[in-house]
Amino acid sequence: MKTVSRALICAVLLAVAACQVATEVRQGQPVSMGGISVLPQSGWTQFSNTAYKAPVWTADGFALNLIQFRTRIDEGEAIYWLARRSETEFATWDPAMTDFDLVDAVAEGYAGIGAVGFESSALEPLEIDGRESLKFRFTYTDPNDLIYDGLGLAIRDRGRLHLLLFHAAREHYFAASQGAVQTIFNSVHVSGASS
Amino acid sequence: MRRAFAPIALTALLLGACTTSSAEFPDAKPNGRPSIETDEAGLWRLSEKLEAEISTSPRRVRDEALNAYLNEVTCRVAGQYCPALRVYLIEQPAFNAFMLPNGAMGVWTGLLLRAENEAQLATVLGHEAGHFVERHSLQQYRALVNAAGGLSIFSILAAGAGVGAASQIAALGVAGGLASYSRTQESEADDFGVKVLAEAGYDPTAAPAVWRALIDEIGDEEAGKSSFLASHPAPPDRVAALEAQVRTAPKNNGALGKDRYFEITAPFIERWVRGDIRRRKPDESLRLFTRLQNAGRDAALMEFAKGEVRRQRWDKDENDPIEAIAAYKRSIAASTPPADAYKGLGLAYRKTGRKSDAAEAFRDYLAASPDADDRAVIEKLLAE
Repeated sequence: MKTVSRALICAVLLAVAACQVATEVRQGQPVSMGGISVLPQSGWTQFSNTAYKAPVWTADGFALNLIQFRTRIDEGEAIYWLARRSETEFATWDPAMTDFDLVDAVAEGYAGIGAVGFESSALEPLEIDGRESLKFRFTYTDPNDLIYDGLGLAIRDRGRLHLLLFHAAREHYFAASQGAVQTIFNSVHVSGASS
Repeated sequence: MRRAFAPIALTALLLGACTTSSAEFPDAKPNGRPSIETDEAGLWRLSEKLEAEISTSPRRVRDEALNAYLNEVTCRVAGQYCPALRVYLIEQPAFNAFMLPNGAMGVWTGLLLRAENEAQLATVLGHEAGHFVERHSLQQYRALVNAAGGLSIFSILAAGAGVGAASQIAALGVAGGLASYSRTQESEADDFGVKVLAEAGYDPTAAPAVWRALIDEIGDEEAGKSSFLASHPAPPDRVAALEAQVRTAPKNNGALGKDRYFEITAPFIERWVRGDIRRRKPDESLRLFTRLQNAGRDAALMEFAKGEVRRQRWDKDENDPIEAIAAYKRSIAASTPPADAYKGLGLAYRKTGRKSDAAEAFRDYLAASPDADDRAVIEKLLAE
């Protein structure tokens, strides 16, 4: 019985390792992905093929702090999406959406991972490389009853949307990684932009 | 998934294994704990662990006045069992309540939002008290142990549901498992609830009204699947049984306690309404807000809420755009609309291409909420 269990655990670990490709994100090394580039000033680990179906970075583990890079979303594509969930469950990107619609779509995405009490605040329009953008804060409680705080950055790029979402456990981790994330958000450049 | 499995499996086992007769069980004692050597003491220990996690949950609503009120109503229906019961109010938008074997009761804020008066709230609290008094958890546990050849369920629960780990939702999940009862037991709790409702001086017609309203909100089929009603008698049958019971009950000229209920819950209603909108069940929310408005809840808030639901599901129903605008306007025409009603109206006008109307609504929003933290976004829309 024990042998079977061990074999099963090994198979699961191998399958997980095979599915989630981890790469090191080095401090001071620019990273390009899907129409944007960022310049992190601290080390992160990037995972692909996660349940989020987007490249994600974490410093301390998925449950503690996480940045999702949902880039190059075309008109009609789901703004938020998750493995094992139909994309039709989520709002689709429409360049005519207001910033409020966008934040509502993000709230809907988080509801898809079981978040309750999603509240957005501090919506602030800005320009990044001449592209109309929006930053905002949010908070929610996850299915494990852990409270998270987050930051969002949305960039409207020639009809497409780039959406960066950071969330971290309120206890210790948000404050600990907020500065590093803000630096990443401030470093965003849109590919093909003149500046 | 792992966490979800244990409560579901347990519930299924419990429901499938319900062979124990209530008649073998004397009622719980109003005071005191079960003897340490009994299986009931083990159930209590597990419950206490769950209760400790629930009591420290960030979702627990800690408002003193509201909790004092809930305890007061609970004591009114629980009578001599009052000292044995503790009520925990949990911020969750759906309709639900549960009772742990040790007298810890969980009540979700969605229940308080949906109750139209104190008697309806008392109906559910009395029903849950019935599970405690009649020791339904112990009956279910023994039925399961008999069916499982004497195996203990504690290790299954602990391993499968993450008890002991820092996982409070697991506690809620296991609580749900521990608080799953057979249909017979649900009927018994209903009987108990109506009896104590009348004895406490409430109008017993509140009992069927609670379930009727829930069925109207979510439909027969969904009602049968809801977390609260899944193990209960089929909802329409339940309403019929309660109505029959109320018809034969002595007339008591009981109170509904509507005014007091509205007064005490008023400070929380907007938060609970916004929580319900975030459930993203627009049809259910629209029916709920209409019912609450008809029951006398703040019309400005309910119309605002209907506007929000329509605006957020824009175009799913061809009437949504026009209905959203109409709802926001009715909210604004009422006495004290939420400032967000102006914003919602502006966004709805904007979506229909009525830019000058949208601009006027946005200006009204900024006037009503000069410190709004989304002011910059509104000003950007005004500048377009």
